[in-house]
Amino acid sequence: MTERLEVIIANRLDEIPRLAEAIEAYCETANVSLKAIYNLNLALDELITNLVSYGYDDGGRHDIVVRVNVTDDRLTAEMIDDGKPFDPLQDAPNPPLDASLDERPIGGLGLYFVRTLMDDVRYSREDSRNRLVLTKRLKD
Amino acid sequence: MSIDVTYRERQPGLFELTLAGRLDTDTYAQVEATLDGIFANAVRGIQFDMRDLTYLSSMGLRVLIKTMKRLRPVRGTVTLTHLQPQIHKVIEIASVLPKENIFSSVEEADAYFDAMQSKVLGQDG
Repeated sequence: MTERLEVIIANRLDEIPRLAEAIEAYCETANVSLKAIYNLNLALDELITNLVSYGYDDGGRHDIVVRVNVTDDRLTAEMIDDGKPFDPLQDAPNPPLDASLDERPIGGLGLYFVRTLMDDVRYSREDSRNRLVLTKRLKD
Repeated sequence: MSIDVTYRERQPGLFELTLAGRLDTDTYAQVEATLDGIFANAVRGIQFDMRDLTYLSSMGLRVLIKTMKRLRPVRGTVTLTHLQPQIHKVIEIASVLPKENIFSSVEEADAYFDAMQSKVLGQDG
């Protein structure tokens, strides 16, 4: 089985493409389908965009650690950050998908994507850090 | 990783915007700037050609939602053509656009635009 991938990025939006490229290269070596790679990269993009935009108060540089692992039947990503405590499962309501266009808020879709595109999302707060584990099943 | 945006007015008031690459946090401002330029004209419809769009995130979707809101006062139409499967899935999950606005060919999208415009003109007359 392929070794685990670890990427450390800074809390900047322009780091997201670098992470996506690393995950794509890693997953392709491990023969993960393009669809699963797309879903994972989109979920991480949404989480990191949210974290960088709202997760820090000090304006300083912070590391975000992402580890990706492929086993026979699942693709797993772990994301660890030292931002404010934030549980995307509890702290973000689902957007009003059936609302009319005029009532539709411009934001709120990103974390909904994370919950929809991943098969499992687990949150914990450990040692003053947020830890998220995202899982995508590779076989039905 | 970036986006190429080009546009042309295919018939009076109907602008076709071709997106190639990624529409996301990094690139949405570029597309919005292009749309700002388009909206300096009398716009009745925006047709997004997405055949070479490989990635769409929620920040990218905001561009589509905003465009629909901008066209609302003139009862204009947003149509999408040639969506790659992963893009289609994201738009479906977000329930941003009704299925009626998504087309596999430009001809179908044009026919829809024409039908919607006749309806608007009919109501005005």
